Amino acid sequence: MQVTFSIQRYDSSKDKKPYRQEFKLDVEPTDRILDCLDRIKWDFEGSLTYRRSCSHGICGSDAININGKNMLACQVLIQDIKKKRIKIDPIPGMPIIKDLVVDTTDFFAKYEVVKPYLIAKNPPPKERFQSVADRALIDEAVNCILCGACTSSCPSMWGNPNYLGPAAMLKAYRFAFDSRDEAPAEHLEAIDTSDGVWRCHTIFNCVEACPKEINLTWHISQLKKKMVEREL
Amino acid sequence: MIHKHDVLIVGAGLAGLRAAVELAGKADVAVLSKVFPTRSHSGAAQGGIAAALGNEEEDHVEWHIFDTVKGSDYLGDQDAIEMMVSEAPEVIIELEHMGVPFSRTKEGKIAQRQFGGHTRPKVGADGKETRVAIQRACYAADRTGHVILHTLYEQCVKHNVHFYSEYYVVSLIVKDGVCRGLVAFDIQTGELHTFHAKAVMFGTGGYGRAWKITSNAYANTGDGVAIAYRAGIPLEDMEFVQFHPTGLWKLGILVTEGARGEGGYLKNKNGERFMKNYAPTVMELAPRDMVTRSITTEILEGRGIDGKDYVHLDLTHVGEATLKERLPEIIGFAKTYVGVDPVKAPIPIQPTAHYSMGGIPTSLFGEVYLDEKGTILTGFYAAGECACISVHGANRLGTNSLLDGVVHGRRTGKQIAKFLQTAEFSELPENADTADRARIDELFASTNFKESYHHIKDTLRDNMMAKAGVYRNEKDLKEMKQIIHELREKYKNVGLRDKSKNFNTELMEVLELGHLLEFSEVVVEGAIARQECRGAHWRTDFEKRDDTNWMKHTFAFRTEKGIELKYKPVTVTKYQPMERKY
Amino acid sequence: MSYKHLGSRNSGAPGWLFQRITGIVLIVAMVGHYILMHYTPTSGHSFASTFERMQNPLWKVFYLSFVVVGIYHGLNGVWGVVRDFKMKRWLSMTILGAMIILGIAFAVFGFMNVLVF
Repeated sequence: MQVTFSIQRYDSSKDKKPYRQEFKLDVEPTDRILDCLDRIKWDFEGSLTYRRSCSHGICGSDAININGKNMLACQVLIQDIKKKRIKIDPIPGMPIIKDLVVDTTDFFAKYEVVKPYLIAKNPPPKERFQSVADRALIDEAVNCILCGACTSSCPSMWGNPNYLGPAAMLKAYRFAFDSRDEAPAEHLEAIDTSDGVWRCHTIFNCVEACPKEINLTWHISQLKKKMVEREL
Repeated sequence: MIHKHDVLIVGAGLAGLRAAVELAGKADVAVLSKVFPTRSHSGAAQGGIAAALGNEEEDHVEWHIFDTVKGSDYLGDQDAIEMMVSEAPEVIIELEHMGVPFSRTKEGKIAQRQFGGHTRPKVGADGKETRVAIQRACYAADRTGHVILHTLYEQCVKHNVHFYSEYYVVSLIVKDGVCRGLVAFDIQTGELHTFHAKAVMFGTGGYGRAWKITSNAYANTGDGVAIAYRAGIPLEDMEFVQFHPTGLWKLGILVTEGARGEGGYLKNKNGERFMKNYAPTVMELAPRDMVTRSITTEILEGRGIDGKDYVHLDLTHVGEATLKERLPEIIGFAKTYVGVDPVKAPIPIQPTAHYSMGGIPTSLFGEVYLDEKGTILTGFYAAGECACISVHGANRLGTNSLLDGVVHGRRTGKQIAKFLQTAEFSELPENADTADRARIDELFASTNFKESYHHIKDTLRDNMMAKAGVYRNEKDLKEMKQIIHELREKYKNVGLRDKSKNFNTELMEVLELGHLLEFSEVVVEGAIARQECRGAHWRTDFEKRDDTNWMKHTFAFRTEKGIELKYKPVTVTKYQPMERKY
Repeated sequence: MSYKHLGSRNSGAPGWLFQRITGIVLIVAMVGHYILMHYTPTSGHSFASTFERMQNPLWKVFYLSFVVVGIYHGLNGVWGVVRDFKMKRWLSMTILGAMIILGIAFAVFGFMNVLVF
């Protein structure tokens, strides 16, 4: 069947503003959007630029905006879209480098703010014990692939680009709620700021955008509760 | 622009990052990666990482050593295997301390599961000793690689390791037997940078992308291997490429061996568990090369599902709760890509090019060999999948790859630290980047797109799959060699359509293709020469393993006359080769 | 690490919690006030009945708290919206100042209305 792709093009080194280009492609219903982008690049437009690597939703390279929603290009098939016209844009809220490639410098700077590592001293000779129940607390949070789909979809981030965003919050949760971490306060303090967790207004866009089906808003709520317990 | 660092690590997968963590604080270390570090393909590893922790049942390092030697079809160097496996428990505990969120046993210890080829002795009712599957693979659901990769990156962030993200290395600077640095371009700006260093380490991963059906990422184009080879370093055992038995049909996406470790069955079109005909004691948990050949045989003999080129991986009897807890990613993949819910229906699978046993020859400490006699190239190191030590021999056991990456990344890091105590910066040759600059300028200057690079790539990958895949023979391999020659000629006429230096991924794809062609020829040459069946290298024109003539590693040298093959004997310590039955 | 993301260390926890508590208080109080004014046959329909009720000091306290809680909740909500946007410090401080003045003015006006009885 034939599908029309309308792709936003923009090369920050030469274009004044973005424009759209259309491609008609004969596709199979089971083709991934990523496969289609590859075919466009290889057969029609060599300059079409996007990131990709693992092609099955674990590396987090290819978050793009498909028909208005943030998704991974490798995780969406033509048959999932149910439209003959597919609109493809870079994920919003981040500066565009070229076509679908955005600048993630800020995104990762925000990740680093929350001290994204286990803080624990004096390890025992064997592994630290962790109960199955304690491990379950962080089970969703450790699945994050840092693709940026959530933070890019967050209206609070659009309004205030300094807001750390859901991905950084989730990372803070992943350590603050890890029973092995000895200094949850350090992760929490990093997000208990004017640009931190309080900018989340439970809009749930992040939950809808997450390709790993992580309930980010729930995790952020847990952080808020923990913060209140700490302060009062 | 010239950058100067004590150590440059190329590749930010498990080996590269583990080495960086080891060196952080001790030296000025920088990591270059063509993708952002957490996008590295180590993160796609699913099932586990092996260590004889004995958390679930009695286990011994000795048993793990034996399994690895036997799994390697006796091509693995036994001193290297012994060292890796003995360090395994220690490095896993270290990973846990760094924060890796392993799944847990009821007592709160690191959970372990069964995996192919990992066994323990068991005395049967008849008094005979057989070997049955053991729970040795430490896991975090089916995301073990992902959580270890992220944890190591977190440690790098903690220790302020410097990253050059989205830099693509194009050549090594080697002069007078000393590695002095490398040349790379910044993908974002297209500018060439020269890096000056006392030590360079490659952890650049495998080369599975040369085959059509593969579990490997787009990024796994064997860049490191090809760049080293061009710099005058021989390549070892390149003909050994593992096909994982269970890739999703058509796409090749990995379905972890852990699925069989949790009890999954392989069935042909008659619904028969055909592994009973090939490996009656361990069935589906035989080593990968054997399972892959069994599946391929079933398909070739017409017992694929509906006569097509796939069989079924049946998990329906395992139970929804177990699947959701231990194999959540697999459920997701199957639903997304083949529309199958593994709780209710079997998954269509076929073998997929997965792991590169061959690569850059190294010592036990990651130092790179310049020849089969053991001459070392000063200042250059390699670890992980791009290296060949060789611990995996002719066939790697599942969960030994993450172990390889972490153990050898760590050990190489320690070795580099030792080297740095006395090492100085060797002078950089003038105009070290001239050749690369000329090559890139030439590509940008090309006015027409005479040959399409993706057409060359597709032709290569289709043919490598058909002629240098699971089963091989001399006729096919020689044809393959000819095809590669023709493709290399065509490659000379490849140009760029994208003339913008800003984030030019077309330029990268063209350079990657050059690497694919470079090492594929070495794979084929080694495969033609090796006249026996061993592990992942299975020749239909030979009947079996030939220990008299072939207990040796292939060393391929790049010479002006073409590829020259030399050989190095396998190191055997305790285990004499015997027939490999399961 | 980029310092622009460190934010100002000013815990939002009390503000977040009080917003929720005052929200719940306001729902209860408003429903009570509404029922009293519109659905109770004996009270609220005339100046006389209102005057009589307001002689009870407990009712005065109720309405005084109602004014304070209502103004706090409303202005804290607006302040939250203001903080959602990245703006110059002088601008946000000006808005904050204006809101405080407005809040005090509303409170004085509200108090006068209650205390007149």
